[in-house]
Order: sequence, then structure tokens, then C-alpha cells
Amino acid sequence: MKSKFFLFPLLAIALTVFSTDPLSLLIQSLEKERNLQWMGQQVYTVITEKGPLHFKSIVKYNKMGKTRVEFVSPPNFAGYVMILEKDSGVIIGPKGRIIPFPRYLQPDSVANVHIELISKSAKVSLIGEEKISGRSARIFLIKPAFVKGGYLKVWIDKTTGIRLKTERYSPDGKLLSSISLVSLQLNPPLREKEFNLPISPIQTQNYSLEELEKILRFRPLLPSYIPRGYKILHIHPLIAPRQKAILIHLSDGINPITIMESPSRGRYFKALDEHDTVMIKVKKFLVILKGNVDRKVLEQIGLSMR
Amino acid sequence: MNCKRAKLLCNQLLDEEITPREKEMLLWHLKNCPECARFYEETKKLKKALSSIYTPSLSPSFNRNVLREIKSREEKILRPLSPLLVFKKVAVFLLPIFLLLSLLFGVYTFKPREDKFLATLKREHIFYTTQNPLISGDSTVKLLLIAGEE
Repeated sequence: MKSKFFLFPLLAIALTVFSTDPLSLLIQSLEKERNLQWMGQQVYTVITEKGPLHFKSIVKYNKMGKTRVEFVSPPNFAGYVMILEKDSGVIIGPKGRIIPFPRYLQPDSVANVHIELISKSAKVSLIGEEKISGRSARIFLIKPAFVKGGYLKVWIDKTTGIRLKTERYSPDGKLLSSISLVSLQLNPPLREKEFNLPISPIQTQNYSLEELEKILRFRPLLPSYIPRGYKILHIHPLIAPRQKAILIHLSDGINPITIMESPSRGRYFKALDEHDTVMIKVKKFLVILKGNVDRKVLEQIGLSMR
Repeated sequence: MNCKRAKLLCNQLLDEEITPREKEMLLWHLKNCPECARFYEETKKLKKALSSIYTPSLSPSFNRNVLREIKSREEKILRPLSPLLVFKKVAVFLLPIFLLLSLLFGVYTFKPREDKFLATLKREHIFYTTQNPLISGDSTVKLLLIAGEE
């Protein structure tokens, strides 16, 4: 009898490993990619209001999960270096200026949390195969299953699981950005020193509602409506000169949403041009929501703040 | 000597501004001309009366004070202006213009609090999305754009 129970976990592992459904293939690839050391040249195209912007960089990824991005073009961004560690990150300017930035989510669980979210809320389909930079890639279409949100097209290397190309689209199917790996070197000799942050990481923590109330001296509102497939991942206060607010991060693994709320007096309304931002006044709070989802979804979340 | 000339010399005699020759001629005429003699007596009385009227006199230090004041004003006018004084004068002139312009400029470029909030939200959203494995690459470029703006 005992030996039969033993078989279940083994069967589950075997199903995951040998499964060929697109979602399992995607998850396997993401997990495989995390454990590799590689470097390559990446080309980015970001569509902005003023038109497309093109960037080139050398990306180095080590086995510890640290990333170093060295920008080589356009000329005004050449020389910028970005180091992303699991719990913090910095941008180093060409003249040595250091701009640190926080990484709010728990570093040990961040990848697993997102994989779990994707497996629950994404509709993944395999739409073809293609050769990119001489490597065979599977093309995945990743769409949110329950909300009208932006979607992704991802080209994943069949052998290594490395993402060779990613295209991000708006909910209306407009291309927002494209990232391609134009050259790839596996297991290159990378110096650990290159991935060291020049300053100590910014400490972040998750706060309870009581703690937030104590720090900010007002009771924050929380969304009573969370779209299906989404989960609140982090809440933290923001105290800056003339700014006192709460930031709530929620995600479905594909299109993260950030809510910022702050007590406000008087008139606060602005018609926003940005397709992914909504500003609403709820009770005595100014609530702004940002995410690559349909505006109605953002409005619905905002209006449900209690 | 005619009477016209005699009357003119009468005044000069009373003011003691007459030559001895003119005096002699005048006295001879006055003896022989009652009308001019009367004019002489009347003029003499009038002068005497006028001299008895009080004439105010300036204090001895008046001239000294006036001269000192003139001198000090001359010094002020001729002295080169100090930088502080120049600054004060320019500031007094420019301040109202500056205030007016900043008011006009401020009305048009005043960024309401929402804009600051939007910028903060945008930045925080990107910080957060750098941790999403599927879209982290996209976020690094956006983060770089923000760093470039700062």
C-alpha cells in the first residue's frame, strides 16, 4: 500500500517533465533558463509616444541569478550599466553616478510565485517554430485567461530554454516592445566581481495593514475586487516630501498592476492620455492604477477600493 | 546844468558817489532852483526813512554751511557707485518684472500634484515589473529611460 503512495509524486514529476502541453513546456523552459550562465547581445525596441526607440546591450547572466546589462547604444545611453541582483539593483551612469532601485518581492520566491501565477492565469499556446540567430526556437503566445490584458509572444530556444525574443503587446494588439537576443554564448567565463552591487541593497519589507496605518496615520483602502487570476504580491508605504502614499502591487504573472493611493483634498481629476493608467477619486483618496490591461479593468479595481 | 541832470546827481550825492566837481555844480544849481532843492530835501528824507527800516542779516555760518553742502553733493555725484548700490538699484528695477514674469510663467507651467504622483507611480511600477520574469527585459529599458531623465 505504502509503495503505491510513493508512486503518486513520481508520476506527477514524470508528467511535468515529459509533458508536452504548451504551459508545461513554457514553465520547464523558464526553470531551465534560470540555472544557466550565458551572455549575448540584445536588441530592444520600445514604442513610445514619440516613436520607436532602439537600444543595444550586452547581457550577462550568471548561475546565481544575477544579471548585468551593459548598454552600448543609442549614444546618449552608451556606457550605462545595470546590475540586477535578486533583492536589489543599480544603474551606474557613464560618469559613475549610481542610481539604486529596490526589488520589492521576496528574492527566493519571486520566480516560483510568477510561475505559479502564470500556470493559473495564463492561456499558453504554441504557435510555431522558427530559427532565430541560427537557433531553433518555439514560439509561445501567452495571453491572460480571465481579463482583457496585454499579451506576449515569446521565442524560446529549444535546447537551452533561453528566451531569444519577446514581443509585448497592448490589450488591443498594439506592439509595445520587442527584445531579441542576436548573439548567444553559453557558459562564458564571467567574473563574480562584475555582478557585485557598488552599494548595499535597499531594504524592503512587506507591511500589514496595521503597520501601514501606524506609519502613514491614515487607514489605507484595499481593493475589494481583484480580477480573476490576480494576486496581491506586495504592499508598502511611500513617504517622500509632499507625498504620502501606499503602493499595492498585484499580478497575474503577465500584466502586473500597481495601485498608488494617497489622501487628497479638493479637486483631483485628470484625463489621462496613457492607455495603461487610470486616475480616480475614491472617498478622500486619490487612486491611480497602472497596468497593461483594459482601462475598464483598472477602473473596476479602483472603484472597488474600500 | 539842467534840472534832469541835477535830480540824477542828487541821488548820487546822497549815496556819496559823486565827484567834487559835480558836487560843486549841483550845490550851485540847488541854490538857484527851488524845485530841485525841494526834490533834494525830499529824497534825503526818504533815504533816511528807508535806512531806519530793519534789514535781516544772514548768520555768519550760512555761507560756510552752503559751501559745505555743495561740496558734499559734488562728492556724491562724482564718487563711483559701489557694487552693492548698483545691485540694489538693479534689483529694485528688476524685481517687479521678475515677479510678474514668474507669475505668468508659473500659471502656464505649474505642474499639479497629480503629475508628481504619476511619475512616482510609473517609476514604482517599473521597479516592480523588473522582477517579473516574462517582462523584466522590457522593464530594464524603461528603467534606463527614467535614469536618463533624472
